[in-house]
Amino acid sequence: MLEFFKVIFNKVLKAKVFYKILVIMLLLLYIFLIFITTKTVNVIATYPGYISPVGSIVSIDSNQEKGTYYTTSVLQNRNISLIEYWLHQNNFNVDLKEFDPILDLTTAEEYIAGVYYKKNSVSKALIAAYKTANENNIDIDINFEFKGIRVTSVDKNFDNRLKVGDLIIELNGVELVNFEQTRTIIGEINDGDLTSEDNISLKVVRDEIELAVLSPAQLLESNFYGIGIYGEAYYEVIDSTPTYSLVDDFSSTGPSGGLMQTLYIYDALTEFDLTSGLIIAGTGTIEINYDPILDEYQFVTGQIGGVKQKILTAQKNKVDVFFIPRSNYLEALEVYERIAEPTFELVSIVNLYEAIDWLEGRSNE
Amino acid sequence: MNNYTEKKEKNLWSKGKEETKKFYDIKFKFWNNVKIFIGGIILTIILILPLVFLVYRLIRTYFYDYTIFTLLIAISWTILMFSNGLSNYLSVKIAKGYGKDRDNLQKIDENAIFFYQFLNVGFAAFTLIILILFSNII
Repeated sequence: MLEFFKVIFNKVLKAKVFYKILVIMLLLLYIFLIFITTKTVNVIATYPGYISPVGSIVSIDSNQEKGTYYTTSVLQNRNISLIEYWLHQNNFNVDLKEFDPILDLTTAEEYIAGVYYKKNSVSKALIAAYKTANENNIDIDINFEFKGIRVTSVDKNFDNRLKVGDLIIELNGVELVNFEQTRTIIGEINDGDLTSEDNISLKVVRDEIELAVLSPAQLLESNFYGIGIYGEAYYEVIDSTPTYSLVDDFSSTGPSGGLMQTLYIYDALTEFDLTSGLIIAGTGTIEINYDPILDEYQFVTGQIGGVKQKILTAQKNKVDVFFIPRSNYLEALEVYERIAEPTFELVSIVNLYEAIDWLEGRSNE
Repeated sequence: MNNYTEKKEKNLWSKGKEETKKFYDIKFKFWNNVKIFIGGIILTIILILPLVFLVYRLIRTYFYDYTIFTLLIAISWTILMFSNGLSNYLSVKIAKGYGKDRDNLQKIDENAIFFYQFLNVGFAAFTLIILILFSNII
């Protein structure tokens, strides 16, 4: 082996200047290639992803005609290499965002939050679809419970004693029973003589164990005291008629499939297939708003990220219709108008009723 | 004269097949054999490493584009076959250092072996199946 290297080395030494330069150039190219492919930058790249049928997540035990609805996912890579960064700079399909260690979640935190988001999204979709279907058929029913506030993100600027995934069940000694009451308690805490010296007492469930946590009151930019977290109301379905079964599919995570999950479940509960055989895809969370004055629930669609990549994914998969929350519509339209021959109609909606009305109108045509 | 004509008519691939057989028939000491085999593989890995990294990064960059992704899988396949040829070529080169006094070894044509192993049908089919499975996972 050593002999082999000696021969090579001697050959280079005895070679003409041109070949010596060539060898040096090749060595430099070698080092350069290794460098640009292994040196990473702290940037998150978002790419177009794929569509997946909602039926692979939840299944309704009914004999009604079911349409096929698709959720749209995007893909992300963290710590991309220098060459990827350079290539993405002028790539319309890919968005780059610098990773912020204070505000952005780590990969592990992102996964935990994503799984909880998805579980809650399916619960909210079941509640929204069953409640809406119940308006025309009282045999369809659902019982659900507000479980607390699930921590989905923590602000690392603050002395934060909560973790992503924690479930807050008690705030300053008061058990949380619904989202509206939670908001009232937070308002009351702020109306008091709170200072940054004070603590807010919490009871949280972490890894199925109840813990008491004293979280320092944090003065936010809005001059409002908080505990430096982002969270969402967490619901659990107790029972339903007809029953349903969950398919444990966490190949994709996050809340953005909420609207499409709701439409699929609603379609499975009602008599006709609302899709009319079309490929219906879309994105948007589903949020449960309770109006205590009217004593009714409103199911609105919420804003999502990765709009550009989702529109491109819809085009790649040749869908017929794509639903988008109104708050994301302009951003989506900008991308949609850049597609030479779009295969789909872009439909902007505010709430579940609008989506159902649009589908019913289309199937009656 | 007849033998000469016969040799001339053989293409590089057939010659490589024959040379490979001749090379495998040559006996080495156990540890030399290990050094030749491992040395060939390690040197090949070192030489093609930047290419492997580059293709891996390009796959990560363009995996959502079916056309580019297919092209990159085809390039990966070529690199794998090239690596097979190169590792065999380097093994012969290293082996020649261990048997300077062995005429039959010194006469072996490593270029023909490289060409034959580069276009080795069995290895090509095997790597193609692996790559198809890999691209389906992605």
